[in-house]
Amino acid sequence: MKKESEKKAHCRRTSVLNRRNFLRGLGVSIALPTFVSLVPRGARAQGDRPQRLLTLYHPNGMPKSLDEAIRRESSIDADLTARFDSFADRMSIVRNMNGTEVKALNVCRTTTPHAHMANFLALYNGDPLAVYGEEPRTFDQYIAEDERHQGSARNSIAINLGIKTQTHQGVEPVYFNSPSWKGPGQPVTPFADPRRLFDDLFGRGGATGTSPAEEAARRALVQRKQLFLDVAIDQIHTLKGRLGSEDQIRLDEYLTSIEELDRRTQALLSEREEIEAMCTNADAPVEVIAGQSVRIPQELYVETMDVMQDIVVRAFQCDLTRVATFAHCGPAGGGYGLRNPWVEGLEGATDGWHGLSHWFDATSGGDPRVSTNFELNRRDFKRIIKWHYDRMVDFLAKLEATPGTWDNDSLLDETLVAAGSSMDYPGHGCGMVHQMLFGGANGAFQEGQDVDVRFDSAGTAPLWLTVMQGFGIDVERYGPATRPLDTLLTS
Amino acid sequence: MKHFVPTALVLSLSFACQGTIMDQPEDLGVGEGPGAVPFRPVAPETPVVRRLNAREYRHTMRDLFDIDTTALQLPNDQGTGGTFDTDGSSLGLALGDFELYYEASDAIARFILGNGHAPVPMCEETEGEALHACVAENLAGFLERAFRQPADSNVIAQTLMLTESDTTYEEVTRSIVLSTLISPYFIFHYKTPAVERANGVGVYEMADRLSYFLWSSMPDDELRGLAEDGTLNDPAVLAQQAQRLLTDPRSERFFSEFMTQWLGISEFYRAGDEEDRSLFADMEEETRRFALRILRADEPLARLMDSPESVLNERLAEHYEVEWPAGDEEWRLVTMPPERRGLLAQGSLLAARSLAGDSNPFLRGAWTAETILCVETPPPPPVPPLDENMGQVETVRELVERHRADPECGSCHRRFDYLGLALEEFDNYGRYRDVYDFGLPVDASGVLPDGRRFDNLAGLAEHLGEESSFTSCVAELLSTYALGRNIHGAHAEGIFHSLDLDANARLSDVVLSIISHEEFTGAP
Repeated sequence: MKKESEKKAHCRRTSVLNRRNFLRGLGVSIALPTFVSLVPRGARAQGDRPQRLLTLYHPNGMPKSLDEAIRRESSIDADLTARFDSFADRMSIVRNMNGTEVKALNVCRTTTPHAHMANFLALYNGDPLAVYGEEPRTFDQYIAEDERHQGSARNSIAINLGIKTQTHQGVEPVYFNSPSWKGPGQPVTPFADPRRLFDDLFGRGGATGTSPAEEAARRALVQRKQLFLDVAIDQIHTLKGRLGSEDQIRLDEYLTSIEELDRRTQALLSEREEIEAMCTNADAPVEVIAGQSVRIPQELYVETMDVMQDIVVRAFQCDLTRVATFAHCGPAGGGYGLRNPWVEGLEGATDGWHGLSHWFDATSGGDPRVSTNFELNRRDFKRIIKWHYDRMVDFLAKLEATPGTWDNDSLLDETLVAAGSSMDYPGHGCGMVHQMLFGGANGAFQEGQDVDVRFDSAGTAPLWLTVMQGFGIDVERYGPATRPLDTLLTS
Repeated sequence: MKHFVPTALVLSLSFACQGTIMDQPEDLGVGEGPGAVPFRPVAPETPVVRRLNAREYRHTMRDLFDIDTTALQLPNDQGTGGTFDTDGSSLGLALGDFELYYEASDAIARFILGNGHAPVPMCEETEGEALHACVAENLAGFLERAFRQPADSNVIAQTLMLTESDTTYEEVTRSIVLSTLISPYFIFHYKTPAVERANGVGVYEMADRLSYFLWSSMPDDELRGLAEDGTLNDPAVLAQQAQRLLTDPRSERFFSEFMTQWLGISEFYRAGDEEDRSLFADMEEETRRFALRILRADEPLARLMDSPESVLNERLAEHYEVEWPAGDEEWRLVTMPPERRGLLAQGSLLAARSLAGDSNPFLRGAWTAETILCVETPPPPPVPPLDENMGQVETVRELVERHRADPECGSCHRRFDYLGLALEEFDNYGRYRDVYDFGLPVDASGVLPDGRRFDNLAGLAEHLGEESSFTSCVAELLSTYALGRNIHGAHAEGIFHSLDLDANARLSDVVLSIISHEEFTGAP
């Protein structure tokens, strides 16, 4: 009676012929399946796989130096970043980027380093001398407009869960709503309504990240790999026939190992078919009230954030886009309104995120609506920050749990996530701002780096220059920055 | 008067043997005359086939394609049961290991194209139908080199089939390299049973065994040519080739790896502070240089036991309190004091087999018996609580002898206690002493199993250098290394008795004896 492996070998021999015929019929030259070059992760060629960019934004800074919190140096705020521990080995941090040098649009006045009106451009802008109407292209749009980084539906998407509808201190809402700019007067309009975003991405009569011809070519690559495995298996059986019984057992180990790879390869094909089905026949993840205003009702905020994260993850998975910005709220908390009542202890809060970020200046003629109890204010401010940090970690976990495009990596492996605020500590300043980076965008960026740039006068620009170069954008200058942060790049 | 005996030593006795002793085969030859070398029982039908280990894979890539593959991840060689990394029982394949081979092959295929080491260079300027015709005509030569024997027509046809859809030389090359390096004909060493052999494959397999034994890599053109025309079957030619390989610089791989793995040099336990670890690293280097010097010069293997010289740096000379000779080299040949002879007196072996605070005669004795004399020392059975009377002994020797007097312990301990006691002249850092810290003199005298006496380690080393038990042990271990499986029991007897080795045997003598035996040649 034939052993199981021998039966499989017989079937496999038959399928070798089928695979050969298939490849002949394809009539195209097919390169070998490309697999991971066995050098350290950081040196992997980026050109073989998609790279994705996700920027996460929260307003109003944080209540204590993030330096201390990240380093766990006697920081009373260590609990704020504790959940990031699960991604500690994947996190780089760029610290002490001097926001006061960024003078864009009168955001941070050098006479009084107060970032009350700090908006997106203060963080993402490359040109500190820009004036209204001459807004420069932001770094993410350089990436989005490169054809190597374009999805099948949109070059980029922007999401803002705290849209501002009114002018604030003479500054138009667009500067508080749009993190991304394609150029002067060309903001990338953010989505606040998950239904509209979903329909925009998926409602185009079926869309996947690749064309049918590309899918067919990918399938042919995998089947060609299986052809090589078939030949190796056949050779093992032939060699076994020449050797003694004990030696045959040793060769069976090799056979089992090959068959295991073959199974996984087949599973990968099946998985691609499932993803293709999901991306072309997608159902909206949740029913959201149709026609809601651009300003999300606070009672729907938590649910909307969760749904928006899921949409971004799925959009990445289906390769509908590769560049996304995701703001938890606009700068200054979307006005005074976002009260975060879902945060424990803030039920019935009379002040919002922005107001509480003034926790430290109640006695200096600050916001009269803020209580004079510093400790309570700071406590509540920290609660809000922690809640939003926890949502960022949720987002990272979703990316990590979702398979990547074409091998055993996850979406997080393919993505660079840049998370932070346009303000610094103790909240509401733009002296020293930080960005946390996660994932390596397919090995383009080093993970686990700690970069302190406190003596660099170019503000945040060097970081964004670095990001652009990691995505292969041929640029030597971004705003005042002419040198990237080399330790973040793998090549 | 009761004297303090190191607590650690007393405690170590609690792990000594008590209880039921496992049955031992009668041929375990304890104290039964010189040259009585006990063997372990051999498993029937021990498999012969084994895969390339990581070392061999990398050396083969260097010799086949002239590329450095240090950065590539390969299957783990640390399986259980093996003595050397050439031992097939340690070279298993786990799930996922094939993928490592696949990815390595793919990476190598891409790399060699960029570095001009194409497998079928004569076809480089062709394309289309001319390319495929050229490859078909010339592929066999490449496969023969990679597989270390001619590829049969079916394998050639399979390889050509995999290139059918390729249209450029680069694509063809990648297909050929990838399929070749994942083929079992490349991955495995094997010996076709005599009754199954055809087309003289046996001589190719022998050439493969010879080159991987002495070079850890594939045969060169000369060796392959002698296999091709069958000349290698001539014992004189085979012996001449073995000599050639031994004197080739590539044999350094063999010398170094065998010594390192045999003596466990790379497993030296690095306890202590940074200064200690640095000292231990120097001690390892001493043993490595000492052994390599004797092997390269093809001196009698017994010199490893009784040589009055060693190779030291200045720090070790100071540590051993030895006069540092003049010269420019960092490492110099030094005449050692009379109490130090050979390997057993070197710090790497002494310090590695000590406790944190003092020497340990049981560890040292057992290790020496197993590693240097190939005497089996089974692990102790489960032990009862420590006997309170142990605390009344006066000296280390008394402690050891009282322990050995117990028949349940003695049957094992008499095999090696005399070795450990001889090494008591050296403390846990390998420094010479004639008095213990607790005041009593060191008594390193002893009696060999055959009744000969010695006064100290130097005397023991002299005896061991005069008899064949050490050389026989080295021969056994070399056979295991060369053949890729443990050689034991009656099976081993057949080999060793035919090797006709004596105490003056050199490495070349042992190698020539091994490679001329039918176990190696595969002759019926």
